[in-house]
Amino acid sequence: MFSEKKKFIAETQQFEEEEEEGFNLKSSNPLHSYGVQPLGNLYFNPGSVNSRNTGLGNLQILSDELVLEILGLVDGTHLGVLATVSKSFYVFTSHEPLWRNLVLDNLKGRFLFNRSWKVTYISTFYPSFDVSWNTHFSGLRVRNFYSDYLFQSWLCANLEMKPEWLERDNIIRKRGISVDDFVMNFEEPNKPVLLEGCMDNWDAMRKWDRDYLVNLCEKIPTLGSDYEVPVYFREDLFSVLGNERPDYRWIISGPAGSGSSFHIDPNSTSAWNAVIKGSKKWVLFPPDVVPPGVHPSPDGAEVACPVSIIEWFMNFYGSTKNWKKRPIECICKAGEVIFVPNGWWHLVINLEESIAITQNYVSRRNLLNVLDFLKKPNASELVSGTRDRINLYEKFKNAIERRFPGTIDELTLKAEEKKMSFWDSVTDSKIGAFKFSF
Amino acid sequence: MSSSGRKIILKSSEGELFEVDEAVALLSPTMMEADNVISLPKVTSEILEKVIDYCKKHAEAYETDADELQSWDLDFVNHSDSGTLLDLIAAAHDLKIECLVDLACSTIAGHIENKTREEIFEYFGYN
Repeated sequence: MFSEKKKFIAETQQFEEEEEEGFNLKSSNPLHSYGVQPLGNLYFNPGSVNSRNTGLGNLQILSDELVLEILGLVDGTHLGVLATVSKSFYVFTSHEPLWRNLVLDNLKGRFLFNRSWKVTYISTFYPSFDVSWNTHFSGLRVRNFYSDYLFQSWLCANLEMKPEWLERDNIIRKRGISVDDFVMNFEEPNKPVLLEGCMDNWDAMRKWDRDYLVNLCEKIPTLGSDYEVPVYFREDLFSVLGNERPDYRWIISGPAGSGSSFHIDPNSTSAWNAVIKGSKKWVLFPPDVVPPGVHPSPDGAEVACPVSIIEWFMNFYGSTKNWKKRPIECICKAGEVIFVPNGWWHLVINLEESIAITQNYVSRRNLLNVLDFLKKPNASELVSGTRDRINLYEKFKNAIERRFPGTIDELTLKAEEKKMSFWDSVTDSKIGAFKFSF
Repeated sequence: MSSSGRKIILKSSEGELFEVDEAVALLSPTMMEADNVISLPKVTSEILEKVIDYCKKHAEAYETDADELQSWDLDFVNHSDSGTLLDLIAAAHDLKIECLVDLACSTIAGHIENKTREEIFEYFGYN
């Protein structure tokens, strides 16, 4: 009996390996696909019936998302019962996000993750149930089950970054430049740059790892002394607000594949991001170029990037190759700091388990932008990181006037002069065509 | 309820036309955004009528006490078999009536939780 099972397992695994060629799948801890195929495959198999439909009975008229919406309201025990009703229900009820929600809603952090959310739920609520025999055989494989939603969901959870997505590295790298140099060549023109050698003295480089940070709450008073703000970013105008300043610094940590899909940083601030451990892939687009696949709402309050990070690479990265407006890309490794100019779209993905520290800031170079942003009529929706959204503009402006009187007027004047000379150069027929470059 | 304001027209899969007051259509962004007749080739007249009933009742929600509205909702779903509920979910989803989608989905989930494996077979109409 046991040897029969072993034979079945071996055949299943071999079948799986043959099918999965062409994708860069995770080699460690991949989730079972249960044999789900994308809908397109059905069209290559004329005469084939989609077992997704036959197995759902009259539930088949609903889309995958709606079926999952119903299943999302069913408790764990009954998801288990449903799994025995048909192959189709077996596949649907194995959808990991269902079990993740059950674990998080019911256990609220008091659990130890065990291979998958489903196994975690079962081993917590039914500790006497033996999940160990599942080590080699994590699921049944069903035939003729076609579903784009479930396939895509499984694929994204199991894909690794393809090498060709990591090839382009066109950011400017600098080491040991002066603050003036940085301000003139990067901060003022609002261009990204990768800075090397700023973190050599940081205690964080030796001390910070997952274990050290896990007990974060006790360590917060000392964490500040493990790093220092690189010299380029010490002008920090929001500091005039003291404790009423918006949130401005974060320690960011996550496994390979985690990260952030396309967004623009809040309050029109600029940012720096220092990698302490691991490495991150960055893709940046300038403020006036909306990345493919991203749909910001007209007022800027909502940024809809409906796809996950991996999906963006799969579906949209390729199109940037032939675009004139190519993004700036790089891999930022431990010990390197990237400068993200204000207003730039950016996407970040951890290529391995990573720890980083990031701060947002306002200097004189983007003070006017920030004031404009805070002044906007829909400021209460857009402004983030502070409880007092509506009054932030007044408070900040007044505080700046008190600490640095005349600065705002000075900067406004300079901006006007720049605008006028720009238009002069444009209308001067002797000068001819000009180019934007970034 | 005053009947001034525009009317929205919905067409069922059988070609039947239903007229809806703007105040009732407020529950459905799809209806509110429509310029012309909204054609719903996947929704039968029977289901469309039920959806409109739901919208009418909920348009008066501010005049109705919460308990009464809740028992009306329960009544509304309890008189529907699983096939009807599923059709309602599909139609409400197309018309973006979130509260009706939620109501019908919760009802189905509740039915599932009350059934054995064999009863589920019957419930979803397997042949």
